Amino acid sequence: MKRPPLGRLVVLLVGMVAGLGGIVARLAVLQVSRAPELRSLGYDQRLHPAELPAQRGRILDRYGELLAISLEARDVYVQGQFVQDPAGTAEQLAVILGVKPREILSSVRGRGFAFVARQVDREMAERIAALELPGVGSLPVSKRYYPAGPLASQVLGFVGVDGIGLDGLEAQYQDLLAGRSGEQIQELDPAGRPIARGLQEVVEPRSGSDIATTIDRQLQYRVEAALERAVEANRAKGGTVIVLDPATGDILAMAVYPTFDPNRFTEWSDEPEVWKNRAVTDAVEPGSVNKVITASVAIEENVFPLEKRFLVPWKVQIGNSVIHDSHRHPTERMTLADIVAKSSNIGIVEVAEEVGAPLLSRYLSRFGFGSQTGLGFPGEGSGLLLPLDSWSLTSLPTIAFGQGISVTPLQMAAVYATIANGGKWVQPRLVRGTVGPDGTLVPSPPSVTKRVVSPRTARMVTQMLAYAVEDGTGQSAQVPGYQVAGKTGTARKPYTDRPGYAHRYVASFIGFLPASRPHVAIAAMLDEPVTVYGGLAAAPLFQEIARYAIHRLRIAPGDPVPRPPSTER
Amino acid sequence: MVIGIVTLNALLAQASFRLQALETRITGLSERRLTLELEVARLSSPGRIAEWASVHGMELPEQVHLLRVGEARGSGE
Repeated sequence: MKRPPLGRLVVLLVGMVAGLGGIVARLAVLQVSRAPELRSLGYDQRLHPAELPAQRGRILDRYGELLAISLEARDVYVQGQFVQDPAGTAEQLAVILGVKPREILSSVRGRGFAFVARQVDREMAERIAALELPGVGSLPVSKRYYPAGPLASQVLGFVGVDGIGLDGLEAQYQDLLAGRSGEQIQELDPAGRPIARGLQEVVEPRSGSDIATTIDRQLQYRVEAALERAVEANRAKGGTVIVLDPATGDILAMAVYPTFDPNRFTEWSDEPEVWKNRAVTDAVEPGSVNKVITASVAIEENVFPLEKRFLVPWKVQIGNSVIHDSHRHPTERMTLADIVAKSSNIGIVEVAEEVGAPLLSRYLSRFGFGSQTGLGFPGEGSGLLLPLDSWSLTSLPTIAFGQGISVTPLQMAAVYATIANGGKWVQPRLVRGTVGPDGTLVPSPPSVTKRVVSPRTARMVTQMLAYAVEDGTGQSAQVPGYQVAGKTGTARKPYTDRPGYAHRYVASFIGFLPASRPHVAIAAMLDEPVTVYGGLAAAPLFQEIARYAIHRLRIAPGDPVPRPPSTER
Repeated sequence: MVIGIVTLNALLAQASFRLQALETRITGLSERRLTLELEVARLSSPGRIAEWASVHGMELPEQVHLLRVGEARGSGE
């Protein structure tokens, strides 16, 4: 037998050694020098980080009743490149989503990622997942629900699809409510299932805090219903009501009409004015309800004795302007109490001239005009109070009866709450505190307070306001068995596009009860009612709300306050 | 020993699956609790109750009478 040539064997051996050497070298490169990089690539394929959304905090009323809550929902998406039958896919999705197939067909036909429905409920998402449609998936998100629908909608605000509060308390307390999202890193197999005993790292999300508001859900509902009825009965453009606890500054109810349902807030996108909490954001000229400040200054500063009688004609000329009372009357002799009760513009102008501009300006500021209340509500207005050196010849007389300045309804409500609270202003508040996971309330710091007028002045003004309801312009606000203290206001609205005033009015009644020991202050305002006057349009609204508040808050009638000096029957 | 290690691994894998299933169940039950809480709030909302009461012929009393304890009078002997 012939042996193979030695040279060929050597060549074969060398070839094999070289080949094996190459393999070893390649292995060394893969296993040693590129090992970290390749390990990392492998992990990248198997490890899937996912955001764990934090549970958004709830919003509760003052008794713990639910006003807003978040539940898990799903955003349904398609990745067009993986869809095999676009028309069929759109058809099947449309049936479950309750839309027409053509509405989603363009998303399904596209080449990339597109949402076909956002914030659908979990059950609907599960029905879609069960179809196992190629290229269709869903992402976990959270959806906000407001179980009482439009109740307190302008106060609560609403949350966008990205989970961020866009208005109201939802926006104001976004950081507190939102919490902090967590992260989960899981090792998944190619089918997307978790690998048992694979790597799993979880950073738990931190849930947002619950917020306890000062709102009383039942009272809020009654106030909104009464406001709606009053707006319709008076054919008004809208209206605002605020119910305050004068001692604590707690806002028990805050209603604005027209309203909207925050569950479906996008349906009002073409009229975003409806979203605004106009009780806080919009400034209006207050009209005669402002006379209470002019009267308070006169009493506090002892400008004249309360028995003094002013000679009050029905109109006067100041500069180029003629100021008159709402109704023609013969020249009368009126005390300050009569002026307040009959809401005489000329009378209060005479009072203001004795008080003087510097004092009136100082007290308007002390009562909170020209600055925000400190509520911190998004878009809160501060009103308009010109600095004293910008006042014109007509500023003092017109401001005395509430024209030529502007305030938010909340600022004006706080003025009456100050009188009801013995002359001490209390910062209004909408939030009592936060609620921990165990249900305990962590109270907010008590509201800031400041002394504006003395208790004696507050007492005297209260007597005048009670007199105004008993014998004056506010008689429609009377509540049987209770003594109400309050004041009507009928303010002309300025033109928005030129100087001067239109024949359009804001009618208001602001007051509190029981007069001797006030438990509740109520501001009722109607925008452009056909009935015009505060005593006709707003006082009955006040009365209806006061009657329910008595029932709801279990307010007992107090002892009557005496009539003001020199007004004996 | 090999059989022991394999058995232990299988048991661990089984426990891991069970843990995952329980976690999913906890999530589902938490969500269910929140859903029920929402449902309770919806059912007890003043608007719904007022509507229900109105349909059933109920209305708020016109007059509310308060009795002061100090003025209460007994009618018996």
